[in-house]
Amino acid sequence: MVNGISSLTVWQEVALLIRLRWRIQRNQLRQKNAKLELVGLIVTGLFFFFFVGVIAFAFYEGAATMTRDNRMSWLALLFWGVLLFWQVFSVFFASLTTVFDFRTLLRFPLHLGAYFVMNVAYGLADPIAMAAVTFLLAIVAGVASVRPELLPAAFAVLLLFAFVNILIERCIGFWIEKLLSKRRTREITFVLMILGMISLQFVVPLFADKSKQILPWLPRVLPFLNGLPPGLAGRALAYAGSADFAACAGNFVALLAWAAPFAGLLWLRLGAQYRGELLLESEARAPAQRTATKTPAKPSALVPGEIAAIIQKELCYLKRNGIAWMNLLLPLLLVLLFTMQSFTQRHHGQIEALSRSSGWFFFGAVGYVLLLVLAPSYNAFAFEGRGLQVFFTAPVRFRSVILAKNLLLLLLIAVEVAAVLVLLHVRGLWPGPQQFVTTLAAMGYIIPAQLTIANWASIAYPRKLEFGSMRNQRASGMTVLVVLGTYITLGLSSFVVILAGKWSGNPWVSAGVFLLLAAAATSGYVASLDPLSSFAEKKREVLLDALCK
Amino acid sequence: MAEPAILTDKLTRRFGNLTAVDAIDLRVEPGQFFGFLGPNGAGKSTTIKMLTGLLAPTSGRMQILGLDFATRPLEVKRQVGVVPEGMGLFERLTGAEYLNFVGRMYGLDRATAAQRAAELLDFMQLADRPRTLIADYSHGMQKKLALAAAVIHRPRVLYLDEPFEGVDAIAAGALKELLARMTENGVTIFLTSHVLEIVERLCSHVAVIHRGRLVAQGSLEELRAGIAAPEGSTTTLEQIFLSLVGGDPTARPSLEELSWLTESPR
Repeated sequence: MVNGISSLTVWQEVALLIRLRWRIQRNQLRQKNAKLELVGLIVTGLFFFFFVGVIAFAFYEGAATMTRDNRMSWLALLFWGVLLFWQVFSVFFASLTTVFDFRTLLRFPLHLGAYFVMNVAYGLADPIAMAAVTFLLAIVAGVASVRPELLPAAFAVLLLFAFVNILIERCIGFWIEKLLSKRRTREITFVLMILGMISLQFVVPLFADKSKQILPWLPRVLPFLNGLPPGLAGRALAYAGSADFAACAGNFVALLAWAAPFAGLLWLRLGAQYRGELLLESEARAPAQRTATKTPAKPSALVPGEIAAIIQKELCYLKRNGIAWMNLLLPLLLVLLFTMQSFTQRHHGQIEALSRSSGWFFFGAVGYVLLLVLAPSYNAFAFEGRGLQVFFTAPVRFRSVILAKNLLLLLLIAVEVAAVLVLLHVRGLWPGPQQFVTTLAAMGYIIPAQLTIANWASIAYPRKLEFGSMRNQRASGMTVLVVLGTYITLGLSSFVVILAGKWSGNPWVSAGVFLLLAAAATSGYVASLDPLSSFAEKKREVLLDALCK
Repeated sequence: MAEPAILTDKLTRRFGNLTAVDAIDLRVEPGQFFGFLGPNGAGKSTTIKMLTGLLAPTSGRMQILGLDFATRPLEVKRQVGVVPEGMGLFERLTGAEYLNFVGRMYGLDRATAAQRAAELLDFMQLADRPRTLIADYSHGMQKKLALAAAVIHRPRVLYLDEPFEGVDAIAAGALKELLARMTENGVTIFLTSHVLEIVERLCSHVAVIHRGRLVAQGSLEELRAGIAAPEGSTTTLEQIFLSLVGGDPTARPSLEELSWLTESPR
């Protein structure tokens, strides 16, 4: 100890970080809106636990049956299920999880070891990881319920398999984050993903057609999969079941060996962060040029200057938000996918059934467009950061800000719906006049109704989000509840209106009812703008506090 | 006589039991370069937030250029430029995009906004990185951009919170000259800074806030007159400031408690 200072061990540092994380979590409850946020989280958490519970029971039953039927080698299939769930869902739901960024602690004299341990351990503090571990526990319980003597071996396999999965997930997460941090690589990744998804749509029908030729090859491929972590975990347990402990240990060691390359890659990544890697959003410095600034594209002269300025700014933000682009392209891809499936169905002599349902294809596609395009509007100020202050210091009423953001969404929806129509036309699935009018009338109801609620939620429960970041991108718990409530209400009411049209025997009844609802929703939307503007003025402290820090 | 540029009447802001700003009466005349000083947590930022519309007062009134803020907020905001706390930048825009946006928000037409944006970027020496996002600007560059945005609409009252912090000496010199020219043309500048030398050099009038209350307000000469200077020298602003708030034992902590830090290591 020198001058009252002693160097901490890695584990002392880890203990300090755990205490720090706990205090941050506890103190967050003291923030404004925190209690409501907690309620929202609890309610959404309950839904999640129900979903996890149901699947865990299936894993339990599966493991118990395989053990009882003396087919323990099949347990590998369950481990494959867990691995795919853990790795795939972790990437898809990364934005919804809350993760503490340990990089902020790198200014302290922290060992790389402690930094590594904390980042790995934090892999378990993720809802997807928790669910996956629950599934693994269910497998262990299933095996032990039939053969209790296998509990220690099953538990050891669980621990090791979970450890390997955490390393894989962390590795994928951190490398993807690095990949997505630069605009250029993000764009390339994005294009590759889109191409991958499109290719998949071609592969599925191809597989369906050629399945008879492909299936006999599968048994020849499967032994190669035995060397992968799920195969090794399943085989370790199967050998333990047949009391072949040497083979069990061999598979166990082989599974442990899988940890090494992923731990190494993760160490490299975290080491780069530890040494002060800086991931910049934009391209390298441009060559010096002292030219006048480029005048932005001319916006519509139909809207006032400040609204045009906000739309222009929103377009700039949209241009730089890959996730938003993905949201815009997904509905079109989905339409492409379903129209391809329907194309295949036609060739299988199901034309009559298809023609009955294809009329509502447009309705469904538009519903999906609205679902994806309007979802961000429930936390509309998420990406403003400190810039939000401009909306309060500039001489504009907040209704202009709301209106500009809503107008841009309307524009995007119009473009998306037009693209959907073009796709349907190309595929020969153009909707009939009744379905076309009903869908447009339903849009007139759903869009203003959603926007009114979304505008209110954006002001009442704001949550800061960041570009290019994979984690900590979850909306407020209350927002999630509001979104769920709105979707259920609007979905059910639309369903009732469609059914009313069918029951009445007059297909135009639905369109008529939707038009009435659209008139009411639009009036409500227009009437809400001024109160929402005043509400934003009153809530400006909460907004600035939540989004500017 | 012209209306005061800034006039507050018993302006108060409470946060629960804490009174951050306690019934302050500020009066700033047009064309004044006004320094607003106070120790950390004294209420400076809260006052500026209220004066710029970022925070609603609990009670009291504010008039900017004779316009009541509560009843005519938009007209007031049109006359005002501000560099808010944290600079208030949209970090995913380029400098030019941001200045164009702010210009348009203040009602400038497209061509004027673009022309002024280009000129300001040139003046602030930011024009050579047209494709760089604000997020990737250095702190000093962000500060210069925030200043440019605050003046793009030619405000009559300008609020500056630590305007020179992080700005290089060359740019700071040019900025000081610009601000001085603006005050000569009747623009009122309301500046907060912890660097008292800057305030002393630039400001003609000063107010000091301590624990939410105004403890002094007037021209530098008026404030100097109230403090006895050491023989043969002029009272500095630092001496004035310390005499106003430094007498408070909670305002200036004792070094004795930190003997482990101030004594030479054994």
